[in-house]
Amino acid sequence: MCAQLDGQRVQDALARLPFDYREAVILRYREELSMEDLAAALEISVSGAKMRVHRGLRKLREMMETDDHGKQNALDQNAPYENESDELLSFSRRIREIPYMQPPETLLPSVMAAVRQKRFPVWYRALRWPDHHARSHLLLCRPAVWLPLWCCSRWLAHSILSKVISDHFPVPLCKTGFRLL
Amino acid sequence: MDQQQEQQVIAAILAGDVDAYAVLVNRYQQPIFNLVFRMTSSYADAADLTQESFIKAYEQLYRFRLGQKFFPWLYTIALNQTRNLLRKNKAAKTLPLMIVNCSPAWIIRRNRKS
Repeated sequence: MCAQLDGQRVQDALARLPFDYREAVILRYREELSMEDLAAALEISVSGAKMRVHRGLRKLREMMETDDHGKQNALDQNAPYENESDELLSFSRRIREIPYMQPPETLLPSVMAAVRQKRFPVWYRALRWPDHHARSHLLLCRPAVWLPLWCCSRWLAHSILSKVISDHFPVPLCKTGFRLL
Repeated sequence: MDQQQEQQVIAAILAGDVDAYAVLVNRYQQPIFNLVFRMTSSYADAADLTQESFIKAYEQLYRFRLGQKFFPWLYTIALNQTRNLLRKNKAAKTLPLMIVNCSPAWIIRRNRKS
């Protein structure tokens, strides 16, 4: 019961913390990221990330010590701590125990359905061509496949072009009497 | 799932295996959803934004440098997505006031400029 209340209080204090500090503290102790990853996630320098975590913890402590009535908090039996690392440990434990909000069940299927429609850019697919089109690529390697296709296309082009040219130019195009096609 | 497996999964997705993305979504949907919920404090908005940011992450995955960690990258995307939405909401709220406050001629001139 006491622990539960305590967790609730940490959660409330976190909710009141300014956004930057809250995110830094949560990423550090809840998601257990390293300082480098934290800096990458928040797009700041590593020393900036350290500073944010440090200040966030300090603000959190201040908030919890003087709650909204301004009285000393009596729930935390271990306070005052002998040294700072004990306190830090306790904070990280309490932050880790804050329950996650559950995302809706439909999130995964809907993301996957949307993603199946998506394609990477053409140039990227072209760069990785044999990977992306492995089967069709191999199929077109065989003359038995591409030779008939090639012949058909040539025949089709020849017939269409000759028809068009003979329709539009009934007179031979050259002096020699031969048509160009 | 450690760093190396994650890299393998991403490499598989980039090679055309779309279904491997489900692994990443499954793993990271909770922290991302909680981040967005903390920012918007609305369940429906948080669900929409989480979905959008995962889709955006997939679209941009070809820009992901292998060797980097996936979670900070995804986190940044979700953060920016949410910031954009919040800014849009704020703009939608403040724009009518601005229009009320200024003269019609000013609005017409402004529209002509942009």
